[in-house]
Amino acid sequence: MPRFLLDGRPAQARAGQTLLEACREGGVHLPTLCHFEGLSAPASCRLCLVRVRGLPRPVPACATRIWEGMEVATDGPDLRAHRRAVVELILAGGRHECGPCPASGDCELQELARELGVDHLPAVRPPARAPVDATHPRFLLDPNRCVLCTRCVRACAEVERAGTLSVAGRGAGAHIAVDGGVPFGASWTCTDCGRCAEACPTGAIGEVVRGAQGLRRRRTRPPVPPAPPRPRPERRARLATLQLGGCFGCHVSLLDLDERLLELAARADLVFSPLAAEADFPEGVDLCLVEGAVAREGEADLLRRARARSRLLVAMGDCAASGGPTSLRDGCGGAEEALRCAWAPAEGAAPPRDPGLPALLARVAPVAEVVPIDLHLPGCPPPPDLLWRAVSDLLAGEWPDLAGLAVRG
Amino acid sequence: MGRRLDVAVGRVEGHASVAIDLDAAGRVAGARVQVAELRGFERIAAGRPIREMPALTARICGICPASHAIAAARAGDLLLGAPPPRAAVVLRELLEMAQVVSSHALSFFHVSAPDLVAARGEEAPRDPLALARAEPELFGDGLVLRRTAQEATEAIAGRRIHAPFAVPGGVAAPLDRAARDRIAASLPAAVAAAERTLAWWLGELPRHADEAAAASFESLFLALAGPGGEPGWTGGRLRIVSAHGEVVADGIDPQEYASAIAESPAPWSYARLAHYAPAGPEAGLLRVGPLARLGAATRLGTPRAERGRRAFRALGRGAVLSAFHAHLARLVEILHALERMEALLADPAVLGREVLAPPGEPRREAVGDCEAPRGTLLHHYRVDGNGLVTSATLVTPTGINVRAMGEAVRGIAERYLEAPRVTERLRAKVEAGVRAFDPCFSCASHAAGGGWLRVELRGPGGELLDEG
Repeated sequence: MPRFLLDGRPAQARAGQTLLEACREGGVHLPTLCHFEGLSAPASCRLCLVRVRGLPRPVPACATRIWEGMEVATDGPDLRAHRRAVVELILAGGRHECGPCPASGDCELQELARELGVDHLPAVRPPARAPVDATHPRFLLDPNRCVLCTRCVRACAEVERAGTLSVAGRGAGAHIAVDGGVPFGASWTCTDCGRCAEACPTGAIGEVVRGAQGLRRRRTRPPVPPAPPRPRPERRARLATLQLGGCFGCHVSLLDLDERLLELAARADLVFSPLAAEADFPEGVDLCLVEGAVAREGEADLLRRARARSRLLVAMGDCAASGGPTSLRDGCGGAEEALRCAWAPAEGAAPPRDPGLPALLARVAPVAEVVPIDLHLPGCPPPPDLLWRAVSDLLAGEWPDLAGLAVRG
Repeated sequence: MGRRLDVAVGRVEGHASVAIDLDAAGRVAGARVQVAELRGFERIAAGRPIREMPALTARICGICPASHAIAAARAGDLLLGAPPPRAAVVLRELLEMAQVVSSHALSFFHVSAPDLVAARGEEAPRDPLALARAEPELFGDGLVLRRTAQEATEAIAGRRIHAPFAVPGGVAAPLDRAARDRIAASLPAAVAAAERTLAWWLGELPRHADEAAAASFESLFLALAGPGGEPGWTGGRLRIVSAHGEVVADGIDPQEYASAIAESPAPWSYARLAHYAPAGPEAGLLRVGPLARLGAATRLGTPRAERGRRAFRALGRGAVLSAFHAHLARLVEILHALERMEALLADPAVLGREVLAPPGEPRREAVGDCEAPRGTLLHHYRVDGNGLVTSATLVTPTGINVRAMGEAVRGIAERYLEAPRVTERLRAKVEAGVRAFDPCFSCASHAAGGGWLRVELRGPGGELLDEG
């Protein structure tokens, strides 16, 4: 029974126990992705890294056994920054637009991004979309959403003992292969057991019949703490909302404040918005809410102007944060290809050119890539309760306490 | 030497601009509404599984996501050979009716009402928050209607916007009794609000005779109709009615929509332009939406809205031609949708537990249809043998209406153009005229965005005269 120090508190473990097991039993939360109960630990995702006194660098808790007198730190700014960077890199390495994904709401990567406060991705050229393998009658393999955690590979080999799945290729070319490289439907070893789909933390392998969003088990989100009542100010605040490339859903979510709109009307003037009639972004804005991603010529300038003239700038929703559904076109040839596709059916007509039409940008850019943001409210769209909590507090000059629900810029 | 005026228009969903062309004498020669955004959903859909289409295409539009999801799911029903069980059919219509109420209420109260009360001569509120302060009772009715509809959507589908609910073969989950009772209990207050607003607006109409006359023009009207001549909200047959109110074509299977609706590109818009195929681009000018639905429907089948429909029909000989009267049509449809919700909730099938059909004989090509709040919506997919989409064509209501919007703007510009520049009055009238269509340029570009419309005045050489 080794005794050790866990975040400064004395703790006990059973002989041979890993740090991760002991942390979970002791109620200390560690983020994980490649770990799956009952499977071997490749320690490849590096999310559960912890600091152990005396060791030169952090070690993965899932693959480190506890020894007598060990001193472990599971949290700290360096570890948090490290974990966040890991999730950012995973997100940037695939096509993880949550909006239409069947796993959305039931995805460990999505949960990790929220938990670790990933509000935007490193500015990288997104990978082109890879073909989906839909040849298997029961399972769909979508490499775009694969994070190479190898949980499916290990479940297939260690539990079902079929050995159908493996990792092929190297570096950026690494991918899950079926029987060394045949279509899923042509596999001669697959037993149709479904353990791969059960083990997958994202939407990369799933049952075909559950391929529509809404048909999977859904986690319930933590409720948004209610906004404390705020006194009405002497002067109404100047509120602006900005619509870039997006579907207007975040604005609709704002209108879903329902009767709270009356409270908002008493506390703010809408000085610029797609819902208002002003043509120019005015000076002296107290709070600007931005929906959508920068997708057209001129939008980046408008956004910079909005930033320069607003005291606080909040990114609403997934498009603003990471490009979201608006950036989907980047994965399949970008604006040029989207135009060609929309116009090709019409007898090879030339794409439109007109002074009234701003050019579509070759790459969709999230808001935080163009200007600094103060707060990001995630969701597709963010729920009205979250919007209200943030808007109500910010207009009153307070920072909303939204740990795990929103991200400080 | 002719010229062009560009006018910026606020309070519309999506990005677009208006160009008014003037001839050498400075008279209005034509007007165009340009859809200035393309998100590329038709390309994005290619290569993805057909089962993902409802959740993917819902992201085209945050105002009518349920309609896109239903159209995609209906195409999926056919492609998978999975006709949805009756409970799922009822739940989809219930969701669509809630969508109609919330979308129409947004258009009428949050977007257009500031224009409509401005005509009273008081200082005009210019946004919904200002309207809330200036006209709390009117705005309050809008809040009740939107909240009732959005809460119903949440109770049926799990959340308010982009709810993952309609899926190929049915819906994601049955409705439980408590949720049904909760929705049913919320409806009477909404019906009262809808009736109050309808009565108020009928009283206001005479003040707007001038605007209504300016936005009046002849066109064909297209809508989906059910077997009894009622609107085909979650599917039906295409019916086309002339400006004189005569049925031009009827009973067209949406699978054969291409025989009725032809799409052609224009160099000045990211959205394709649609017309009635047999009549050609000029004579085949089409309108869809509330005006067209009430024009094409033989009956609504709900008593209170039916009275409203008669009041609406009395505004025109034959069809009601003014785009302005879409406001009235929307209020009648809100009432109709609430009455339909009452009827659907009273149907025992709404609580059916069987809501998803297993796949059967698959097909490679299908069209999904519904009446979105803004009009006839068609999703046309081809898939490969594994159910991956190989091509997608989305025919959206605003896409169909874009040419008609140009016609309405031309009439308004002829009436209100005083000088070859964009005056505040011209801009306001053009804006209001475009808003009467409740355009969703997000959808029109099969893709999305938001912001406002620019209005430009241009000469025959295409040179920019003025914009505002």
